[in-house]
Amino acid sequence: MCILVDKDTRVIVQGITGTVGSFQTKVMLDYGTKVVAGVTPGKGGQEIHGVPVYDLVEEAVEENGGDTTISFVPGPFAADAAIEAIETGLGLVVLTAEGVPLLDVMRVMNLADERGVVIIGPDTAGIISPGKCKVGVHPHKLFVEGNIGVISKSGALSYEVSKALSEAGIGQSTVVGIGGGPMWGLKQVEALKMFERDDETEQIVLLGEIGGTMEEEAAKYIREHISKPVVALIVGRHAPEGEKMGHAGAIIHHGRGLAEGKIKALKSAGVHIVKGPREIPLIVKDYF
Amino acid sequence: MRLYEFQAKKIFADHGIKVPNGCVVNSPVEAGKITEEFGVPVAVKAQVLMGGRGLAGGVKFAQNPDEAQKLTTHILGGSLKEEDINCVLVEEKIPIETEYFAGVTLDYHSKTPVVIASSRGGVDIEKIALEHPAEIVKEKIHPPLGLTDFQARRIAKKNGLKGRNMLSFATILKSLYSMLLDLEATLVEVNPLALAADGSFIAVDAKIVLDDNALFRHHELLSELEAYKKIPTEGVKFRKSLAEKAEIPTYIELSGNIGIIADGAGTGMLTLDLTKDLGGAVETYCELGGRATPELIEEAMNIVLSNGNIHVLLINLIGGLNRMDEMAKGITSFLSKNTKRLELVGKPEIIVRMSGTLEEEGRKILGEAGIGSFDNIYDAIEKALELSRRS
Repeated sequence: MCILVDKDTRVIVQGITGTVGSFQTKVMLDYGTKVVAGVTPGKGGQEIHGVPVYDLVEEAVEENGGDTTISFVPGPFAADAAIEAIETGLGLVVLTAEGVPLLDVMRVMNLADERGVVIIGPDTAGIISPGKCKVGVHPHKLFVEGNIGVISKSGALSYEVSKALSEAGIGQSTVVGIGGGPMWGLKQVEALKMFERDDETEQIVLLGEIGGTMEEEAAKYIREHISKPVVALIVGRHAPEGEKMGHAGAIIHHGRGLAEGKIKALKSAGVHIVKGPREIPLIVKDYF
Repeated sequence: MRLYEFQAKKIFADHGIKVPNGCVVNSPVEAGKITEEFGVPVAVKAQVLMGGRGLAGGVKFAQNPDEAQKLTTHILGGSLKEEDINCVLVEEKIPIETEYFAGVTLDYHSKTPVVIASSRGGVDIEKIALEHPAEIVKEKIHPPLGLTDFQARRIAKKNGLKGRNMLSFATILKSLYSMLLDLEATLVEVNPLALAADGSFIAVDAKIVLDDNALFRHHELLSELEAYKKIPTEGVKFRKSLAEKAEIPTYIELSGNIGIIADGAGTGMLTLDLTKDLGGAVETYCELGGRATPELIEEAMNIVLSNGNIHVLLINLIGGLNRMDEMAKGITSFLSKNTKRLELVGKPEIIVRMSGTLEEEGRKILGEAGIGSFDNIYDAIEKALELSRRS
């Protein structure tokens, strides 16, 4: 097993005809992901890399099945695309868009909660279960199948750490990018819960960053519910106060959201803290 | 993006919230004239976007036109926490009975809007929260329902208000809430909200922060705001304004001789952390986000290297959405256009680390231009540190 996506996942790509959507569809297909249909309003009837394109998500699902969507629809229109996917009954919605208006995000999250739909993102690289399925934009050469579950706010940081693991001969069960915030669908706690239940995952790597209180919540959850070893890397230790560090959620405000507090909370929950990616394979190897 | 007080007050007034009589001016003479027209003592308030203005000396009171003119001369001639002051708001001084706090913001945790109100207005809300947590009333708003009348009354009541005052306060909360939705703001706040001797509530200050991601739906507000901003022409403020114009997500100047350009927030922060851990002094931190183009990285290099303090530029790229062939094109394009300029400023060393989507293609483009690159982040940082120590 692995979490969220596996070899049977049937994927719809929203925004498939754009430059990014089309390129990433090709990469996902090459990886072996079952991309069954694409959606771009007004482009129904076309084909992209052999994948049929529809105007509506419901048409795409009716004719091809599909349980998961990845959306490359840009920020200003991302919420409508997500709501369409939720209304159509897809269970997992991956939102890659950056810059989605916050009231739009709120609307999407509230509807998703009501319908029991899992949202990944926004501003996420997506999910990869190496060797099985990729619903995301990961440079998959850096990933190898294995037993480490990775949870990351930042996509790029998850590539960096998976690269270090893979080069040390340590593979990953699933790598989940939860997004840059400041509002998240799936959070660290939910991903931890899934990895704890997953047979294939033996250890968990948590990649956090400054801002908010999510890592503190994760620490509490780990102490109470997680039996598997957890290693964490928190970035932004040297970030100046009051500056947005690229992710909307990564900001230190009035001394809150500091790396220090997160590291302390995680340490006291028994989590092994590292300063950089190259330490992770060494710690993980010790546990095996 | 935060609005100036005078802009926020205009919007408040349009939404039925009483604000003091006032006028925004950019010369001392005008300030004098307005004070004469009002015929009462006035407040002269620097129009800046920073917080903590009152404590920094940005609000003064004048008894007569002469005094207002003098204060305005003084305020317009200075700056507050490095922010230039282009105009002042001259308004009637309000005799205040009691000061309240009222605001509506987004609660990212519950994913709902939230109303915050307190009878301890006039000071920083953070301070009220610390010193009198029990005197802050906080209620979540159920999104489909919105702020209902009874909930607004309940919040007013919890703040000790009764009768007509309770009803007026509730009306103000409703207005703040509808402003939040209309403007797609992340914060609408009034502090202090003064209860005047005649029983009316007056917004003595006004704060609105718009959602940057939703600005594309509010062009009018944006252009009005731009009109009042002074465009810097040199130094760090200039470079920051260039970065903002180029839509570079993060551009920060610290202190040192190493510049960092990264193509992801997480790896950018990691690069900063590791460089500093290893003893490097970082002057510039620039992060391009997950959807960088060749033009964006080229412009980022232009801006970062226009700062003469940079001796080593460390470019750390690990792409998912970002394609390394495109990043390499941007880097080589910058270098081919700037050979002379780089020689003039003493040739900063440029270290490139490249990994991820289409990395072979990217490396090939760099190689053809005679540029080497690293695959491992630590190797690149160590090289950058070695070169920075030499300079």
